[in-house]
Amino acid sequence: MNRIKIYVARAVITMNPSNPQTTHVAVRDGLILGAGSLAELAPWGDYELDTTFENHVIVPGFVEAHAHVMEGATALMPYLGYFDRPLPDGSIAKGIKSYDELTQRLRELDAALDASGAAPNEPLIARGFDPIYFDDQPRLTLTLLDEVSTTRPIYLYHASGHLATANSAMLDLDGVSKDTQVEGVGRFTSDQASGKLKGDLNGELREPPAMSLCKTGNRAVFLANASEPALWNFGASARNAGITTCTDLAGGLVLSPRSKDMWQRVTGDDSFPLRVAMYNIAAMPGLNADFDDAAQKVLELRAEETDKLRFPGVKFILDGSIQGWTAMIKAPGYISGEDHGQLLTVPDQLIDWLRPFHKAGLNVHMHCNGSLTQDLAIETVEALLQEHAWLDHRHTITHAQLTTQAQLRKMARIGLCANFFANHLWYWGDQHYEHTVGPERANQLEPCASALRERVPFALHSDAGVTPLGQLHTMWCAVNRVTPKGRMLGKLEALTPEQALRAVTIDAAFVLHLDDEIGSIEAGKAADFAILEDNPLTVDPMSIRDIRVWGTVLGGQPHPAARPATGA
Amino acid sequence: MNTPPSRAVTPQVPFTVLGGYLGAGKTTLLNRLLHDNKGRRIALLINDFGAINIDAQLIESRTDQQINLTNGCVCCGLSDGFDEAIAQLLTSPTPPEHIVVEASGVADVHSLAQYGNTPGLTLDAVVVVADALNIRQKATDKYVANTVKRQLAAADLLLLNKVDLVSTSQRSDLRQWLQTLCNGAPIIDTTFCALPEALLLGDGTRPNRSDSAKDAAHPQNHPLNHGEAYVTWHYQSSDRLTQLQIDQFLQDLPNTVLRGKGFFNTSKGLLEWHQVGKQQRLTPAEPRQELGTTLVAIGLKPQLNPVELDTLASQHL
Repeated sequence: MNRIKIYVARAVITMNPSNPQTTHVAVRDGLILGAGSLAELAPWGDYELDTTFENHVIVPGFVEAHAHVMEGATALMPYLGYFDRPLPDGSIAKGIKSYDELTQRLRELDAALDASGAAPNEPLIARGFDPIYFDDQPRLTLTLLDEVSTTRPIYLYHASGHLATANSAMLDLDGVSKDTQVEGVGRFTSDQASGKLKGDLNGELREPPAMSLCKTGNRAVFLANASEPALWNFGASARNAGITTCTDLAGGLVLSPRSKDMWQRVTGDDSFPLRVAMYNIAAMPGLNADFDDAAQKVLELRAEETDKLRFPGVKFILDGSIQGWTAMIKAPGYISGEDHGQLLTVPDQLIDWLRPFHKAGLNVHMHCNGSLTQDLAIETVEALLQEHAWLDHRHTITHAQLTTQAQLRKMARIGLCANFFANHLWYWGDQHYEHTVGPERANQLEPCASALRERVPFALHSDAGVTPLGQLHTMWCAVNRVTPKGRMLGKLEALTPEQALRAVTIDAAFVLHLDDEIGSIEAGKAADFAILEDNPLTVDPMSIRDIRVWGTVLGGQPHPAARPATGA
Repeated sequence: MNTPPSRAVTPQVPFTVLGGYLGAGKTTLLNRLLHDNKGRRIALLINDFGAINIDAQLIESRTDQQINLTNGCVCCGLSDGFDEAIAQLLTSPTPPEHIVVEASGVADVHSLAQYGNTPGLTLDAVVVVADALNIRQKATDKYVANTVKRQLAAADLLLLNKVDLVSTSQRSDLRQWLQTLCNGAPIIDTTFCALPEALLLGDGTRPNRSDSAKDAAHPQNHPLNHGEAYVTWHYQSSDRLTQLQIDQFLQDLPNTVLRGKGFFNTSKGLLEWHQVGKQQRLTPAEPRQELGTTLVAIGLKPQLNPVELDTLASQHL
């Protein structure tokens, strides 16, 4: 048995309602012995007082209940997104706000490749670009990318994952030509100043059949997403943001068990600073599979669980995204644009698909961006409960962005939880207000306060790498509900900082069935802390995302952030 | 009709998408294809790997995601994703002669069909199966109405299955109602998805194979013509045609023509014609002096009337 260590801090915010705030926390062998004053902890015996954090605020290690290891791949390629983005090394990739900045950045990357001795035709593959933020300007085409280079193949994989833009050299490399007849291969519609003719390729590739034509770029992105460096980066980015438990919410170990060894080895490394709760997907979205067998495979994985690699349940994807107009939303539908609502589950079969997991005691998280698929999820779980009464299932509707009041009332009665995509308020709030669902429903997006009132347990998430990991930023969104254009979306749905902190710690642990082990600072729980340089409950709420994160303590082991990073 | 410029000549495997909502009969159709196959290397990409019934005696070998049959068929699961399954098939030492993908019950078949235009493949047709008993109800269902209507609209051929379970008048009402939803695609009544393979996948010959001209010229040698439930129409001429003549002929072609293929002889060279239901494609073909215009069309007896096509040809060609 190791010696007791007692940390002293400016404040220890516990998320234990019986003992909400104190000054010291005692830790032994990775477990919390207690939180209280030094006098209250001293009876545990001989201890070492650790003053490293005496000027910091200790909160429970953040729990991120909807993220993807793909976040870690973001840093393996140049980032060209609109918003600043924290990188695993603690630096910030600056957002790209104009086409001039885009070409300038690409020129720098091209020059850097030249300087590194890379061949002139070594592809330049970047990610994160999103045309939705450039909707007041002409669509990005290969014309701009060809200005950067006519010899180096360039491939921009967009943030949505549904689009890419390639330059002429990249299209040539992969044999995509004007004669390619695949729908989704973008073409110029009329004579352009650049001298392109109607029907000439414009470099845009929409949706997987067209994107698959650009094998070089597509494969590079795919391989990066599932790579070991991506997993290490995932751990580093989480640690930098104060996260100690993070989901990989579309895990691949059921469909392709090949990478199991890699996951076990990396998460088992003492220097890997994160607990991962993997929710595997049991079938490609929309496709049928042997779900009895899949449930068995999850149980087998669970038998090999370690305290840093957990398998609480499975993930199902029911529809697309709101900003892609592919979420299935209830009447009256989208306020503008065409409804491309994409059903990624077979409604008549969903109950059969979920049953094996429900019966095996495996928690199910269902991706519903739209309110219509959310109805389906609610009806299906109600029917399942009538068959098999698992009273404490905690099945969760994740994203749940357009949850209606009636749905909240129903969810509360059948024990369904929500995991709200709070970051949408900031990243796409203006688009929802102006283009997708309109003012009334944009103001009720992520209805956190209503969920509290209706007693639906909920977490808040980033869906990283869709948006960056950072629970302080996610809290900030749920508390302030502001948009880049300065709107405040639905102040009646705003949370207090204390409520928001619950939703990224103990309540996030609750929806993962891990709240008896992590998520609060109390005797008997894992010594997982986020070490903050300021108190999120007392700073100006608009500054919550700017609080610096020292790093984490995970199972009693300190893991300093790569360098003091902001939560933004 | 637009004629795209000539493409590089690489072997292109015909690609068929089989769609339709849950329970319409897709699996029945796949099982039928598997068991009736007479040696063609047909690859089936299967959504529901577990639902396929394969007679143990037919299995030559199997892995986790692939079953090879002694009759030439190969069944592939899709758990590694669609790109991967297709790439593996196309690079195998014995690539398939035809790929059929079973779409999920909620798949956007139009989007899936776009894979048929990617390198190595050629889109043959989108075949959609509708359940005569419940298609109307599904087309108004809270969750699947739009999905089902999108599938019907994307069909090149629509199989109205389980017609034995509805009355004659219901059937005719259904057909009329479906006609608008499927944008004029031919609607074929079926029971247990019984449909000759030649109509579903073609006869396996490609019109630019050297023997195709001979087949067309001597239809009595053609395996299609032996007392089947369908009828074949042939046409041959050495006249040079204008684009306008061809366009008018194709435009007036009745939708009782379920499949058509051949070449049109024009002053700019040969145009290859491929048609399945409402999908029509003309592409420039490699020059072949010995071929004039050679057309083959097939349809069901008695709906397709060869005399009608003769008249049409004499009018326009």
